[in-house]
Formats: sequence, structure tokens, C-alpha cells
Amino acid sequence: MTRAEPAVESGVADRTLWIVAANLGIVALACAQSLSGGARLPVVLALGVLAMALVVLLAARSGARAARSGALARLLAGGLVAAAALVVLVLGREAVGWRPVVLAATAFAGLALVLRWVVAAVEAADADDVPWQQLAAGAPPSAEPRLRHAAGAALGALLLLLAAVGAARYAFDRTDGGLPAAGFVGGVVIVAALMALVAGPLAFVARLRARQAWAERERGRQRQEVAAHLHDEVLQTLALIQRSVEDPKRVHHLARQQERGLRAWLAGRDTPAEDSVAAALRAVAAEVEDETSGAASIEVIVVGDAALTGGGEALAQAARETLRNAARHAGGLVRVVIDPDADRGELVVFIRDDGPGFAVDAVPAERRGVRDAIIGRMEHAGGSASIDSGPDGTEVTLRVPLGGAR
Amino acid sequence: MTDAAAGRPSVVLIDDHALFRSGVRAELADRVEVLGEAEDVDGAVRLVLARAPEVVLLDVHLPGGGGVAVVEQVLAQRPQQAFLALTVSDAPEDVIALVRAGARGYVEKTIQPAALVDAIVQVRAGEPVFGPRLAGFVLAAFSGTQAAAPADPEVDQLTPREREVLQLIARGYRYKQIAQRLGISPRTVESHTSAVLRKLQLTSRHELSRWATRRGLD
Repeated sequence: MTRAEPAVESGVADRTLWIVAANLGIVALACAQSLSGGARLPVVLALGVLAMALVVLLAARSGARAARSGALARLLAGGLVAAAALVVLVLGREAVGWRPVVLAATAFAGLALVLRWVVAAVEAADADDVPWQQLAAGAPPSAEPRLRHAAGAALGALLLLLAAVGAARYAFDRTDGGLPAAGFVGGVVIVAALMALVAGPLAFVARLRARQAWAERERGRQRQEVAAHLHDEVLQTLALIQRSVEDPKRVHHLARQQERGLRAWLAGRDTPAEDSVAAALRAVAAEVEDETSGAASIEVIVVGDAALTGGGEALAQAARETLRNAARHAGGLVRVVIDPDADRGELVVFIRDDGPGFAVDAVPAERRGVRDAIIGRMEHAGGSASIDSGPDGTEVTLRVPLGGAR
Repeated sequence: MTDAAAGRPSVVLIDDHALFRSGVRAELADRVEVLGEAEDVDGAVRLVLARAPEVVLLDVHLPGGGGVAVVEQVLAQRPQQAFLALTVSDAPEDVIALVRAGARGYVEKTIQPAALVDAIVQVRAGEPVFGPRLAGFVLAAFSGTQAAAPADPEVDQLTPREREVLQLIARGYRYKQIAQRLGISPRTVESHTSAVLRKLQLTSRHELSRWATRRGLD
């Protein structure tokens, strides 16, 4: 996905406006003719409809592939404007004389200038975001074209005023001071039709552009988020790893730490809302891995999860103590399995290492870690803890009543 | 699976990371015969059908449809082909999908070379490679279907013994230790894991997709 250049974008707006102006010219001719009772109205209306279709077609195309269809569209628009001008001149003069033709041309030039300014203002409003969003969406629009458009709009307003005064004068001359009611109603209808013709394509283009701009900004925002994460996390870790080549243990730990972080981030788990047992135990595992500098790699397998209640918190603390022991005395790979036992209404956590094991009864009474921090804590929370240690490793089983299981 | 069951196993490596392929190739060089490498689905299918390796080492994520597409297209023409999933993905959906499609096992990319060779030999012999993680994923998958009335209890549920075996695998026990704890032979442990693999491959798409959806919402 390449981003459309701002220059091309404003080219699209200009082109669309010229097409609208040409369209208006044709419709104006129709108005003039209908006012003067001319017979060529159907022909002129058909031309108007054709031009309208072209406007919509070109707007849609330019939105999708502004850069490629640019030259062709400009050519088409130019040709259309020239043709419209010719039609207005020839048919208009023939039908109503020079005066209304000149008046109409003035009015349309003024209208086109004003509309150009309106569209530019709409685009500017689109781009008006907080600074970092502008940064993500590309360079902010410069103020210079805005000024130019505003000056154009002032000139346009002046032209419109002149045309209005001229038209009033012309109508006064033609009807000797009394404008017929039918002509007035016709005029109102024509003005309404004119406004619809202008507003329709403009609204269409504005919506298209707004949607494009939003998608661009969104893409930019995501890209920036990813870049920020990679920079803050991954690049820093890689730099640390390069500086730690003489310490394989530290390299392993750093890689492991980064892997854990990246996985959590990819799974959308980096938010601090750690309200489940699995989230709490993952956090505890990471903490113990870090404080033991990678002496143990702790892998958490979740068969089922439960809400973190009072019992769950005791469980997490007992698990922390167990994991510290495992990292200190066994090291290597330590597995944590979280498995709800629905039949017994318990949440069970198994923590297993394959270290040399120890004799549970031989732990001296003054080393309170196992007794107080693990067994005592679990019993206090209404659960239990058991330790199974042998030459193949040690497994600690923690159980708490299942509250709010998912 | 005929007379080739001895000697160095022949494998192909399917992974879109050239760095990883060359790493595995270097690690396995003297214990495994690497017949070729591929980095996308079409190339992989052509390679496997042309070289007929004993085991295909396959990543979950591949350009052109993923590892599942490779398994499905190859099995349609060579139903006896053995696959071993080798992936960094720890998304249960990814792994289960590959096993369901017909892979006989799953190992993580951080596995030690010796353990990887063991797994390749095991898959070549027609046995599943059921590591702790896969056991955890399968238990989670089936625990989702346990509560609802199963459409076909034979296939949609695990037997209590199968659950026990999987739980012990998840906790990191080896087959021999499991056999000891349960008072059965290691051969029986293996037949349980094979049965689970078969169930997984037969489980109705409906149940598993419901499970996957639920996991996605969690």
C-alpha cells in the first residue's frame, strides 16, 4: 500500500470541481432556454445528465487510482469544460442573446471558486487531528494553498454578487418591472436543482475522501504502535544480547524474557488486567524467571482457567514460593499445569521440575518456606498442598475450591 | 513404514524462514537425511510428492494456505505420509488444526536436537509425538465439549483413563513414568495417546470450531 501524494489528492478535488462547473454551465443554458421558451431543452438536459454521470464516474475512479487516471481525467474534464463553454456560447446567444450568457458565465465562475474553497476547508477539517495522528498520516497540509483558496472564494463571492445584480437588472428590463409568477417558481425550482447537482457529487467525494483518510490514519497508527513496541522491547533486548556474548546464561535469559514478552504482546495479554488464575500464574512465573536470572525456564500450560478470588491469590503466592524453590534447587525446565477438576469442585495446579528431589520430612523445622509459605497458606485458604519428591523430580500439587470457574 | 524403519530417517523441511531451515539442517546433519526444503505450500506439496521423505517437518504458518493446506493436499495423494509439526506458535488453534489435518505430533522450535531426532524416529514408526503442550491443548479442547451433550460420545469425549494419561503428559512425565504410576505397560500408554489422536482427527468440525470460537472470545 503506497500512500497517495497530497498533490495528487488536491488535483482530484480541482478536477472534480471543474467538472461540476461544466455541468452547471450546461444546466444554466437549460434554465436560460426554459425562461425564454426555447425548444432545445430536452437536448440540453440530456447533455446535463451525461455530464453528471461523468462527474460521479470520475470521482469514484479518482478516489481509487488517483495517480494513474490523473492525465486521462484531466483531459476529459478539460474537453468537457471546453465543449460546455462552446454549447453555452452558441446555443445561449442564439436563444437569449449575449447578456444572460455573460451573466451565467460570471455566476458559474464565482460558484466554482466558492466551492473550491468549501472543498479545501472540508479536507483541512479531515486532516485536523491531534499532532501524533497527523504524524502517522503524513505531512500536515501546508497553509499556503488554503490562503489561495480563501482569496479565490472572496473573488468568487464578488462575481456571484455582480451576477445577481446583473440578473435582477436583466429581469427588470425584460418584464418591464413585473416578473411573472410562473417564471419565479421556475427559477426557484432551477436553483434547487442546481444546488442538488452541486451538493450530490461533492458529498460523494467528501465521504470517499474521509473514509480513505481514516483508513490511512488507522494504518499509520498501527504501524507506529508496532514500531514503538519493536523499538522499546525487541531492539533493546537485542542490544543487550550483543553486549552479553561472553555470558551465555544471560543471553539465554534475555532471549527467554523477550520471547515471553513478545508472545504476551502478540496474544494481546500485555494489558494489566490480571484477574484470572492463569494470568496471575504467568506473571508469577515471569517474576521468578527474572529474579533467578534464568536458572529455570517456567512453562505454564492452561487446561482451564478460573477467576482470581481469595483462594486464587493464595494459590498464586504459594506457587511463587514453590517456583522459587524449584528454580533454586532444580533449575532447568519447570512445568506449571492449571487444570480445573470439576468433579471435586477444585482448581488444581501442578508444578513439576526434574531436579534431584529432596526428602520432604527431612526439611528442618526452622526452614519455614515449605511449611508456612506453601502448605500453611493453602490450608488457610481452604485448599491443600502436597509434595511428591523423588529421584525423577519434584511435583507440588496445589488445590483450592473452584470459585467462579470459567 | 516398510523396510525403511531403520537407519537415518529421511526428512524434508517446510518452513518460510531460511535461517531456521539452515539451523535445523546443520543440527540434524549427521543423524537425519534432509532430502530438501520448501518455503511455501505449493513448493512443499511438490517436494514431498517428488521425494517421498519418511517424515515431513512442517511449520504452522506458511505462505499460500499454511501447514494445514500442505497436509491436506499431500494426504489426498499419499495417505501414508507422516508429518511432524515444528512451530513457534503457541496458539492452541494452530496446533490442533494441524494435528487434526493429520500431523502425528507437535514439537516446539526450541526443542533440543537430540529430542527432535527422537521425535522424528517416533513419527516414522507411526507413533504419535505427544508433548506436554499438545496434551494441554487437547485437554482444553475436549474439556470444552465435555459439558454439552456430545453428539457421539465415542469420539467427542475422552475416557477417564485417556484424560489421566494426558494430564500426566502435560505435567511432564515420560511414558515409562506414566506407566509406572498408572500400573499399566508403556505400550498401553502409547495406545491411549494414539486413540486420542484418532479421536481428535475424527471429532466433528462443529464441536472444535465452537471450542475455537470460545477460546477466541476468552
